[in-house]
Amino acid sequence: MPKGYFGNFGGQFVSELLMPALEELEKAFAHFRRDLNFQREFRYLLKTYAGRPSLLYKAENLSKLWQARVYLKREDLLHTGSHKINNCLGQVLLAKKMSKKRIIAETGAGQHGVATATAAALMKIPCKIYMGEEDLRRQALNGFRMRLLGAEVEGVGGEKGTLRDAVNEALRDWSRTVGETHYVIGSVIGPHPFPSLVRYFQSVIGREARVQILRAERSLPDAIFACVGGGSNAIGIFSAFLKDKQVELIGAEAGGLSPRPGENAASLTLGRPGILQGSLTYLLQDEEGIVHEVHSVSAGLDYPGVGPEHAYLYEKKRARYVAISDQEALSAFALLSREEGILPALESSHAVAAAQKWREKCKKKNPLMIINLSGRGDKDVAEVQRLLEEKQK
Amino acid sequence: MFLAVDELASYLHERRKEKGYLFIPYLLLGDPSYEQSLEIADKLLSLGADSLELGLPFSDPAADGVVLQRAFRRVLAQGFHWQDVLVFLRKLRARYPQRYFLVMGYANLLYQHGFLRLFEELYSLGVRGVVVPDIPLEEKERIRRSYGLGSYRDKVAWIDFVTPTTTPERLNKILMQARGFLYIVSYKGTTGSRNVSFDEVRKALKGLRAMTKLPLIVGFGIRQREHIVGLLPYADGFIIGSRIHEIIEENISRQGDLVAKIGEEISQILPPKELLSV
Repeated sequence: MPKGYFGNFGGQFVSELLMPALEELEKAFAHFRRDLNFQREFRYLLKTYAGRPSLLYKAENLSKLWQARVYLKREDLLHTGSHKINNCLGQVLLAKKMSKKRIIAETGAGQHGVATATAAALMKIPCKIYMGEEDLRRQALNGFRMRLLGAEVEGVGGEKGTLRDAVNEALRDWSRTVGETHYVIGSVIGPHPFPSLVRYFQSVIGREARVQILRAERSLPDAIFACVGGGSNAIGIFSAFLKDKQVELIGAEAGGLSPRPGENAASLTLGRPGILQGSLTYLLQDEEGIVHEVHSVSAGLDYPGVGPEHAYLYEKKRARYVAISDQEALSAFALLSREEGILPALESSHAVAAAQKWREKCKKKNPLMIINLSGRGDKDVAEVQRLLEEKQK
Repeated sequence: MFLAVDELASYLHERRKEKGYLFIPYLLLGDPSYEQSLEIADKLLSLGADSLELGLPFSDPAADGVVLQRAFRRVLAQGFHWQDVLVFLRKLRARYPQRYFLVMGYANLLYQHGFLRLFEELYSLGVRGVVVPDIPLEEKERIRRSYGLGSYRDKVAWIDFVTPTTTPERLNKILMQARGFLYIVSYKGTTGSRNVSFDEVRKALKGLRAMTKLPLIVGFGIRQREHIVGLLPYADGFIIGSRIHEIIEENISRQGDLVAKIGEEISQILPPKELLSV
């Protein structure tokens, strides 16, 4: 029986060349998640290097404005500026334990690439990052940051190359170098065991948030908001609340410019099940199964698929997913910057916008909300400036 | 050891006996057009191809190298429709009622079309094997069960890959249920690499020969006559794919020359019988 299914979703849709590596990784993961030394090392890195636990901050101005109690889980304050570092420290540590000689990774916005390059520099292991050429343009500074950290960076997929092209190219590299190389997948996507592995390393977000909100408010939140591209920060925070049925879990997908094919990246709200890059999940695709080009203002959400566990939570109706347009995300970016003095990543801005829309509809008095602020917006400032100038013309 | 009972394996055994070796070109349908694909198919079959591995384009061909990636993009620019593929197969069937063919496609295209419906259609059109690069053994077995494909096991062989990373345990599982032929991948990587060493795969072929009666067909990186001459003492046949689409790419603007050019190049690659020690 194939492994790694969340209901009907997930699996291992890769070539025979990669199957032995997945088996090896699965065994190593099963071993080290029970290994106390590994746990200790991982926790030590999260605490002393990444800066965990991350704050759960009560956004007073936003709370007043929305007549709610709004908390932000500040993953943006971690080293390298996003939640991606949790997974990268875990996977690179695991790769070292597995005696791998080299690390590869894909990146969209560059946050995962930077976090991988950082972990690789720390643990002294050579590293190569694949990034779509369009993303390299949008996130030029992150490209340079990765090189400063000692990683080799390759632009792929031609002028319009984005995250999915970077994943394809990383899979091709892995086919050539499997054995000596570990592929650090950056989200809860890809073949088993990656969706479970990345979930495991990101679940620290939810565990902390649960303790923190109970301490601050003595109750569980009414709703939790997180952006969903592949969906690792969302799975990370959702994972600790799945059994608390009274807590609404809301994923914000990239609604882009419009619901038309090619103009968004809202795989759950606008797609249907299919097989891509290792797993069976919801995809944006045409009638025949050719995967659509996708678009989002945020490079990190610009992906035609979604983690298989999200597909499962969506069908089981345990989580709800909404499409947030580019425009709504940009407004939320401006709102949080002005109201709280916090620049959110454009990805995380989608979660802020989803929270705002939810609040407008929610009848409850003074509801308790947590927004997972998965990353900081400094990387997006130049792109936002360009977009605002374009709009003025 | 077991006797090959499936339709594709029997067919390939017969052809192998007659001809000495099996030549299975890979042809991406629609590159540069379906009309020309049919002409190229005619040419390849006239040069002695025993079957054709008819490729379908996909937006995310993670198992393919740059040559086929570009070919896929050329085809997708015109749009992909199953209907075109079925029409093509019908024409091919009418011209070559005695030949069996293979279809190669990434998992999502098959999944969207529906596996059972697809196998029914393909079987009726002379297809006796499918090659799916991103469905490994475990998922294949799950799909067979959940889509009720049991009755097609010996009718449409779902081809297994054996690669340089395949472990002995996996190889045993593969051999237990394999049909048609074994697709032997000659190196770690994607299709169409250059300067490949075939030493490792030769060693692997020697071991495999003693373990199965299924035809051993080598693919990935084969582009010269020397490659084939070096492999054939150990293999039953070979697949050439990227090289064909490289020729198409090089000659795409001179449409008239295309088919003739492929004919010329491929007949130079195919070894004459006297060169073979089989």
